[in-house]
Amino acid sequence: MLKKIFVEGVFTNNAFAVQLLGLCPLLAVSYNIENAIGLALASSFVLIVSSIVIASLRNVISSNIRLPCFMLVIASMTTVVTLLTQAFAWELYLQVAIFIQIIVTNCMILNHAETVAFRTPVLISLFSALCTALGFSLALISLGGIRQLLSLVFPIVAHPAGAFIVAGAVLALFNVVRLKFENRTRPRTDKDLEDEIKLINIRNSSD
Amino acid sequence: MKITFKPFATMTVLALVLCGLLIFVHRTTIEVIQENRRNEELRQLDGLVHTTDQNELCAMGITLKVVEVKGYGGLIKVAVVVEDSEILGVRALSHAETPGFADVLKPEDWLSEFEGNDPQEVDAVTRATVTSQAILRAVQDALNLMEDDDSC
Repeated sequence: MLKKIFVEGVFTNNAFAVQLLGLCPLLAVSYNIENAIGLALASSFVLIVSSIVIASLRNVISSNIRLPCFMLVIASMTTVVTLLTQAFAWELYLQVAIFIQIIVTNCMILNHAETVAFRTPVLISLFSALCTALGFSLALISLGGIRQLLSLVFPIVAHPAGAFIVAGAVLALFNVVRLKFENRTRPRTDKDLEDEIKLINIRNSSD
Repeated sequence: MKITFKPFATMTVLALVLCGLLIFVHRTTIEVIQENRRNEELRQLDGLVHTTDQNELCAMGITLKVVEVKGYGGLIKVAVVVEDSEILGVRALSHAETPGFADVLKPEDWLSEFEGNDPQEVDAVTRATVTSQAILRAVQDALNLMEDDDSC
């Protein structure tokens, strides 16, 4: 089951390439690799910590007020990250300031809170958050690396228009590989089915 | 429909706890952040003046005025340095303008047009109208303040 969560978070349900969430900071910041790493760390921190908080409060928060509660938690964590980067990574802050602040509206984090953290025990949602964060960071950092390298040859790649072109190309390639992988994998066995049922049961048990 | 107060209580408690966390983080980082901001301001003024101490600058016949104006994304802190009623330089010490539009605030870019010029003759920038007009206003304000204030 853990393996399934890992493969989903990093690969088959990657926040960038499959869910297409959190694209705004991704496109805006990925023109070089340092900024990409900085924003990846900041987003991962918010994602992981807010997942832990929301998962541990999932039995206290009633479901009709869950969205404002998610936003409270995510916004507070974003403010914490903003303050920390201002204090300890000033150079990075000057480069990506506004994009760290808008992590609060990153749909990847809200989506994870709603679909996973609010329905699963703390440890599993922590693991799932780690995998999602890893998937997002890999996407962001590889996009940053590709754009920084390509911009040596084609300067346009470092500009906003280039972000769309490169992200589109990366998305296409990634999804070709992903579809090949999904078609190649063996048909579902009883064990896969058991795992899925187990996951669904865990998620439903908390409602 | 039955109204329960539990959701209100939950949210209030959650908000209070998170406020506490933010106050704690703010308290612990504020000194480092202010130090970083001061260093950044000095870095922006680098090559123009070596200190922000008014008395020391006065002795050299230089006046430094820092004014804040409202730009597009919040307050812009503008420093104007004048020697013998001629502008030595204009610098944006801190701002929250949209990346890209903030390029006009780079010292070697549009801001260099103020050096030795009458600010009345500097034009705003088409691709960043709000930002550049804010700077023009700031320079004018700073010059007016200097005229009123003869401490130097």
